[in-house]
Amino acid sequence: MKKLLLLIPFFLGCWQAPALDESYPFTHVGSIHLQPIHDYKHFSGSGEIIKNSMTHSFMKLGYDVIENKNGGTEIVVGDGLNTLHFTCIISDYTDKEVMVIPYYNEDKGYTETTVSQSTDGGEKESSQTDISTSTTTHSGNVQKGSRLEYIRARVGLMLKLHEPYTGKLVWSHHYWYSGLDLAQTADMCTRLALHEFRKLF
Amino acid sequence: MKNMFLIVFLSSLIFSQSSALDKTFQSMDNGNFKNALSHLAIVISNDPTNPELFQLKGMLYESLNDDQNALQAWEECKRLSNNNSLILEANNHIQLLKQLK
Repeated sequence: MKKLLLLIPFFLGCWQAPALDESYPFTHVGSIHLQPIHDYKHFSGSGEIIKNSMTHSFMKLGYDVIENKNGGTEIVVGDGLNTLHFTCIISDYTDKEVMVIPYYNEDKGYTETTVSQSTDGGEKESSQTDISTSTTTHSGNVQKGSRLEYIRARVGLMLKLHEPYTGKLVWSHHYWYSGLDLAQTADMCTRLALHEFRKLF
Repeated sequence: MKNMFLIVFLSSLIFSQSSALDKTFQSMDNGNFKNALSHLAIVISNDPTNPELFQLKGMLYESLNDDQNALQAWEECKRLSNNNSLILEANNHIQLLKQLK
């Protein structure tokens, strides 16, 4: 029981589960209508990229995807008669996120030993050698080194499923994904979205 | 003369660290992620408890589609971090990489 209590703050702190209306009968849903996805701020074409990535991922998961003549997209998820609308808002779409890595340089210190040697005397028998040794210890310390900066991509999505007529929200999820390449990050982000989606249907 | 050697030796240690970092980013800029990983390994050996370095390692492996090593790097990043945002990010990556396995 103690272990269970210790785990609760961990899950609250770092795991963001989707919001779900558990009373909604997801088994009665036959299809989902993907609403148009708008571009992120000034990133022209980002909406289309995410939409295509989504339909591609849906297909890879085995769902039938129908693209209507009027540009609408329908995803067949079951045999039910109900329909849900799927809205996706791009909350983040950038390949210019500056990342800073603080790194620490550990100076472990060092010991410096100086050996001085001098030989005095001309004759071999009476030659005298003086050796003196001095040792100095330099303490070390841990100091903050440089700040490293690099640029990476970040894609964030806000997803919602709602009933078209009542407007009732039945499922909602928000998350983001990071990577070094924007196209790959966008693709991974949509895959992660559908990973949660799959639990419903 | 000995002091001179000592200074040179210590300086070389510090510069090897910063040059490894420089080379990591140079390789990333050139799109050579494999090379970047080999330089990053030197940086990590000098700072092995820095979660942000494992975060970068995870992303580099993901760019190379090496899901197994990416997963290990993100798990290490999560283990070392006490930053909730970074842990959440690591969890997202771990969740997806496990799914891809």
